[in-house]
Amino acid sequence: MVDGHPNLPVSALPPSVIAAEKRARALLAEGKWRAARDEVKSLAKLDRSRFLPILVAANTGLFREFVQKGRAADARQVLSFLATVIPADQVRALEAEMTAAAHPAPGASLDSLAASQGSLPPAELVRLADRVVIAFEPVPVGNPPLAGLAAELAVIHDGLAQVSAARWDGLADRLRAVPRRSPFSHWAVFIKGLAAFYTGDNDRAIQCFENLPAGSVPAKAGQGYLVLAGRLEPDPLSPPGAASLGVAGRVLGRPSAGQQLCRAEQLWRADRHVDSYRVWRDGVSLFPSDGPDWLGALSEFYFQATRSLNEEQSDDYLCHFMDLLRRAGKNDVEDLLGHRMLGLQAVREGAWSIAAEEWDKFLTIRAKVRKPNPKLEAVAYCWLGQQMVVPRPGQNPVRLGGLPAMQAPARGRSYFQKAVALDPNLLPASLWLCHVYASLGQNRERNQLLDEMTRRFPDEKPVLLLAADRCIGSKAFTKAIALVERARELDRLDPTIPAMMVLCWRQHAWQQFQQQQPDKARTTLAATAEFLTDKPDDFHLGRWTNTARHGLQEELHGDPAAGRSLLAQARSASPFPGAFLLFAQIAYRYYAKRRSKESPFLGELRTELKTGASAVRAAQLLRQMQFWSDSADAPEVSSEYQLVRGYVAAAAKLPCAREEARIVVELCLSSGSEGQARLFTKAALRRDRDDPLFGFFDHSLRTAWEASSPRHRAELEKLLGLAQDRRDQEAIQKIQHALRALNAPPPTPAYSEPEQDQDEDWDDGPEIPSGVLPPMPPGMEAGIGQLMEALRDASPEEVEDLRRTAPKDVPPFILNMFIQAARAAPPRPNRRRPPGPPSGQQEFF
Amino acid sequence: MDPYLLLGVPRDADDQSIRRAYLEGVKAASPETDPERFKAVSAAYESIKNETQRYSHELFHEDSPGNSPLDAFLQHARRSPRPAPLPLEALKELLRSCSKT
Repeated sequence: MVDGHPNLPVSALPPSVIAAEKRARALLAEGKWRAARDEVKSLAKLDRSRFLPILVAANTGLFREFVQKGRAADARQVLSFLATVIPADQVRALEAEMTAAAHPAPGASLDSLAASQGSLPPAELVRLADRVVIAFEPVPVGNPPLAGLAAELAVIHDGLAQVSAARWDGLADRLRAVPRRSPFSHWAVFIKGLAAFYTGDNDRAIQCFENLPAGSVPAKAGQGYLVLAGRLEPDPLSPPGAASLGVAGRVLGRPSAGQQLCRAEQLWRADRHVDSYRVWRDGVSLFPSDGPDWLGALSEFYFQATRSLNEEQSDDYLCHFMDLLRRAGKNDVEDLLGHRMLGLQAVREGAWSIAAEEWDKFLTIRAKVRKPNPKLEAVAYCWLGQQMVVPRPGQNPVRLGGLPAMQAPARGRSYFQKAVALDPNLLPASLWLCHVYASLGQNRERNQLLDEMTRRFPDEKPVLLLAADRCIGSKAFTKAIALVERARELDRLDPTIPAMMVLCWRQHAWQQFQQQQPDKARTTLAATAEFLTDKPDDFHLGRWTNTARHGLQEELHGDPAAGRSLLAQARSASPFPGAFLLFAQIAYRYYAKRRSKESPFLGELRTELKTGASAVRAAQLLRQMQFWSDSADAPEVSSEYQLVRGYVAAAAKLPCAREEARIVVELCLSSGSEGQARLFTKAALRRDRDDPLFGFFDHSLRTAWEASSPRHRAELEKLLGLAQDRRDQEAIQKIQHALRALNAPPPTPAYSEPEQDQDEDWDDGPEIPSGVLPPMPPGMEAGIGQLMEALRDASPEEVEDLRRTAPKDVPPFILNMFIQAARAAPPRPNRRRPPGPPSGQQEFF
Repeated sequence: MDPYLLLGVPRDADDQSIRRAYLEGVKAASPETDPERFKAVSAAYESIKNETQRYSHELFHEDSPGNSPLDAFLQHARRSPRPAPLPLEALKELLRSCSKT
């Protein structure tokens, strides 16, 4: 009551009373009984019905605390108060508890239990049974009224002993002697749970531990086992969660672990990461550890944690470890893991000097603590070198993967050299070194290394293909063919090997034609037959293109009549005359090595491309142009591109299937022919203005430079809705990809330490005379060079990606100019890409 | 997850003992009974099954065993082999401690 008004709603209570009630409940939850009682005592006078239960709970808790501490007089005093406010049977139960505590002999306890069995509420009975069990006193015999209970108690004690001794046979049978109605039945369930837990039957263990009476000793212990069984996510900030972790720690044999874990977790959540580490470092002698136990897992966590922290937190954390290690680590494990963590972070940031220093320290300490291990050191240096030569994502002016924009090639080279010296059998180190030599123009060193590699790794496919590539470059075709054949014996499923074999044979045949050995050349060319295909769009292995090449070679250096015949065959086997003429025009210029853009086929090609336009044929011609643009040693093809673009524009005016239009648009987009892509897109949208796929193309063509504008996102979302309504999976995927790209944060260029290598001996390319061009800002010239290089080799997807991610302040026409210029640029010498660089760490390690 | 922890082998284990631990691991957690653990055991084996991979793992792996100390502890508890049962006196002590909380 408040001022004589019973059961007032909470809103009617004064704020001070509500606050006091909250405080009292919080104290109850924390097990602070006396404080809770004092808080609620005055409240109970205000509103008895509302606050009496809290007062009873606080006094009951206090009573049990006194009982446990053996303060019988105090307990009795509290009980005498409780007797005035709770029912008599509850008072009797509390008295029984006190009696059991005062007389721990199981006989006496069993007496109480037997006496209370009918009158006590189940929870109180469980509590009493628990006291009897955990007294672990010898069970009295020869007491007929208690014989049944005593036998059941003995089974429980025996069961716990069996669990400790890991003796599982017959345990379940023995536990059957404890019936369900027994006050010890929950102990039998607990023991079954323990047996299931230790024998790996997780589900059964969980089932047992979850079905124990709440508040009982087995239930509390079961919480710890549930944590370890993966069933319970304890909250270390709450008392029950902390208690469960405490039990889990005990189960693992470290009674203090639960408390330390709670403290460390609280500090970690409060962003006090160093203090969290300190909890273990200062409190557990074996920490940090590299053992296969939970202490090892925690150590691992703290030394891998930087990646989950933000930049500022990570810096603070790492500074702490730098400071710790400067003054010498706590143990060898801290030294090792600490330097490793700092070394990895330095590599991530491109701080190569620090990375080298930290890794050297790590390897030195490791060699001292364990024993010197050249193989491990070779793996370390190889990896370090690899990090220095792979392009960093987001570092280049364009985000095109796999391009040879190395971060620190000279440093990388020295690490690969170290790795090869330490372990000559570490193949990835040799492969990477070879790749770096090639990138740095150190052909003499590369050749020497390749010779060594072919001796050392005679049965390694990548080595054989690299060596074959070198032989093709130096026109040693017979040797190249032998090497590729050996590679093929090792891997008959690799599709790049037949392609390379055909390349070798074809180049060799051409060399033989040029050396006036047409018969040999024909024999060599005949060997390609095994690998040719009938795919009209395979311009490397396709049969009709092969015949056309042979015809051109015959015409130029062999039998012209046979050449004409072969060309006629190729023409009739080709998909349509325009495709043949385009192929023959460019291939002729390639074989004749003419600087002129004309060939005997050009006139007819021009005429042919003025008629019979269609989307299907346009796609074929665009694919062919892409093939030539990507081919090694191909002539400059900008004039042919002009012809093809005219043909594509004409095809756009004619009706075509949606799928055909899609293919053409995608090919146009990837080859920088936006104008033609736009024509096909508009034509498709005229037929169906709500087509989501072409809507997306149209949108991309219009807004290539507004990637992050809200309008752009809204349009994409609208298109996505349309695509989903129509269940157009292709459009859905493309639009979702574009939306994901919008959501992704822009790449932030990481700091990369400049290389300081005084002894570089590679050629940086021809010098531009000063005064010809206005000076560029520092780094811009290199950036443009990289951009052109990247665009020249970029795949269609990469070009599309570039269009989407280009900065806002670059006008579209500038990028188009770059794309077209890069595509039309004369090819670099030796642009074959057969074996290539090792593709990454995963492949080798 | 640390593959050594997961397979329950020491850091200096050789190819054979790692393979043995792996086979025991997949026997205890087959793809049908415990697919998640099976996957984890297989991945752990793949990452340390030979010398070069072990070196590489020791040097450069960056897998964190959890998102926080508690998470690392719990994940370890779930994936590592069960501890040995407590000696009887320790078990009694544990149960008595539970009666006080």
